[in-house]
Amino acid sequence: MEREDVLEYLVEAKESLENIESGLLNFEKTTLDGSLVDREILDTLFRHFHTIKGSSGFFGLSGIVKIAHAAENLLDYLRNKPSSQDEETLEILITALDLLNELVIHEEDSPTGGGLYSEEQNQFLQRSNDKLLELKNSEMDLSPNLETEPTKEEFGLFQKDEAKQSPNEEFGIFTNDVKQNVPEEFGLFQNDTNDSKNEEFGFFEPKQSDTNPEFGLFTANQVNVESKPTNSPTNNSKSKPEEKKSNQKKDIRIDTDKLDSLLDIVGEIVINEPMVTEHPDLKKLKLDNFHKSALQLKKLIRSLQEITLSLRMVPISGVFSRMERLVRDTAKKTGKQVELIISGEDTEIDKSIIEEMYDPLVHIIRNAIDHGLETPEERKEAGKQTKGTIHLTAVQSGKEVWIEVKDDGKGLQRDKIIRKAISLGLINHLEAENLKDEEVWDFLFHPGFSTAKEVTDLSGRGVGLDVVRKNVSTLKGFVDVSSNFGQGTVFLIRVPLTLAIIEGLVVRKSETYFILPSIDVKESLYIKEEPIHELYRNNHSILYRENQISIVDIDLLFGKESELNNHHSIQEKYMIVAESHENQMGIVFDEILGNQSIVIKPISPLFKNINGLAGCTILGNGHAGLILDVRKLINQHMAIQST
Amino acid sequence: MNTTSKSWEIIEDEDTMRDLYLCFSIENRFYAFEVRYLTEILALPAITTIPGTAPFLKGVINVRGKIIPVMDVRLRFDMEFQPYHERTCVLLVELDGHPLGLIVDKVNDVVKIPAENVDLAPKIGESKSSRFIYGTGRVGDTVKILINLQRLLTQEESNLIQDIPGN
Repeated sequence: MEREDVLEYLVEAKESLENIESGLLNFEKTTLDGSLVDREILDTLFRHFHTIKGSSGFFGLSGIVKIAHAAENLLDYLRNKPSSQDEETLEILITALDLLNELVIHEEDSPTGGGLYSEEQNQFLQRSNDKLLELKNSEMDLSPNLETEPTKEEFGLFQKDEAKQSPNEEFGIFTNDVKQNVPEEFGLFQNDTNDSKNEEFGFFEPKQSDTNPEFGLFTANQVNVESKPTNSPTNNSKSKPEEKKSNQKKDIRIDTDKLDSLLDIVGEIVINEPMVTEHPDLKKLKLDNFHKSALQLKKLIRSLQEITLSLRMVPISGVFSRMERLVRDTAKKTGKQVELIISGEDTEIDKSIIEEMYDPLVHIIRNAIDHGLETPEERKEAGKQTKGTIHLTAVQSGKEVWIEVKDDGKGLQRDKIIRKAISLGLINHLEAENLKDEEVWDFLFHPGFSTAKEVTDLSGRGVGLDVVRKNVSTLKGFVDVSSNFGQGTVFLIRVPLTLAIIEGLVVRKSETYFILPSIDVKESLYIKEEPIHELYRNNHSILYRENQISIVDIDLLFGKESELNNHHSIQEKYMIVAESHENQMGIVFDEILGNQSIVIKPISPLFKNINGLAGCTILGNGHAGLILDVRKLINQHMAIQST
Repeated sequence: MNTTSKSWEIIEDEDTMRDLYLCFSIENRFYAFEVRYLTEILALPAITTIPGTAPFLKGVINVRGKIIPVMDVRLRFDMEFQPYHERTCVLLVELDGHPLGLIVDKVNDVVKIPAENVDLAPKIGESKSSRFIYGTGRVGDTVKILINLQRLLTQEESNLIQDIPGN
């Protein structure tokens, strides 16, 4: 078996495991509210485990097969005896998932042929076996009991979870035999009774006797139709898998390298198009038909570019659904009750950004549960529901995606944060009083700032929100926090839709082309014979709108001697006034070529130690252009000057 | 890769690529490295210099929409800089998945140097430029200097870059 095939399969297996995870979380939700899990969920879970078992067997990954097989056995048993499910079986299934994940990752990193390698894994097999036996034994004990409590089943017409269908109970008196007559007698029950307009009577369906002779009157369909308005818990568990199905798109897995080379080539075509259609050789010729065709080609190339760029966009749901598990585990560890409500998971965003969003979200959500939400007792005291909620929402706003994590916990404590800030020497007592709330909350992002009293295994390890902010700002995004004491905290992350394209000003300094992101450029000026004041070596200033601002050249920004030392006036040069945190600075260039949409490409890791460059691009003339990280350059330069 | 030519198809096979070396020269010395690292040979395109890097890292070039760093091998070997001319070439190689362009004076040919003709270089101190060389290969009457491409980009370089003020 080729190693590559195995790797490819493992990616697939991971996807199945993700499906299992969401299935298990659904399972858990229904278990916790005391109802029996849906047959459909069990079937889906069983199918996924079965797929993993089968395919892994094909690749000879025996460990995965064993674990999946154990889980499959349990599930199969549950399918037949749904009444025997309990939290322990669920726990075992979740352990199975974790072990499978472990095995898949282990196999990916170090191919060992897929056997079990840890004691825990072997123990799991034993444990799941024991559980299965235990279930089977208890069934024997219980079986007489089952017979003695048939009160509900006597009526035959109620589903097992009839309690939740209270509005329908009235009709329970119709028996199988009656059913056929009912439509005729009352005239209300027609063949199309399950149409939405007749929802009230929806559970009398002509065909149902085939599928479910015992409980003849209630079919699966009806329960859905019926339960929508009543919003019973069964509905939640049922409609979810269905929604997922309808969302399923046809897709195909593509190697990102291939995708990147496609993007490169499309980028080249876009650049080359004007080189051809506006070729200088054609200038003096009268070519009406050519221009028509050229125009058509231009349009096509534009849409080609748009489509290729959209290829990198994926819905954020992948990352969001991973949070469900996190919430579950964290809630368990902290003993808090938490409900995660996700919305906007279809929002599309560049894949590379999505991957970077995972860690910040984990951090914020963990914080929200650990620090933000109160314990059930505290919540009761505060007059809140014992179960806390966390809303995780994504919306697209212009060229940005806003991701919001909102909890209804106790909120941030101004005093506590200020005390901490004072103790860290960030502010003094006098300043503290005049701070606005936002300024106080901002301290949370300060490195090493943690208000946690003790270090738990969840938080307080000093790896704080500063890392979150750092991660988000490398994506050119922002994190803000707002809070109402007693009502909760909101974290808002704003990130660009895609990192691939920015608007930039293209300039030239001798042979090298640079791009300054338009967002950082305040103004560009042509300067001639403007006096430059040399304060001291490598430190010059120029008059800009009644202010003296620093004027530098690229050499100086990159730590070399400034050319300005040799000239006291600039001749026929351009100055770009750039701004960072209210600091303005003039940067001198030879020529300004104009504004352009720039496709950002990473600089080779060889140059990783170079600060001040945000990436590379290819310009219309075929040259590579360097994208300046203007803010960093300015900050760095200011820092050197002030020392 | 060119699949219409039969000889290439054979060379693509890993086994037959063994012992094959690409030879190039700088000044009058002949160097060679294993051909399996090579992806392409280019005429020298326009180089965009990157400020603040070590001098031997000349900058980046655009190869069909990909931006690839280039290194002047002459400068890497501490030889004097020579202006580029029409025979100056860029050898595109791939090291650990990262493409890199090597600027050399002249590309010669591909030769077969069987393992028994390779003599490992004696370890003579920590001489600066000998660390890129792992041995010599005898080809007929001539001797090629065998380069360890991985060593062209060792840790020292990143330190070097960090030493530049302002970084």
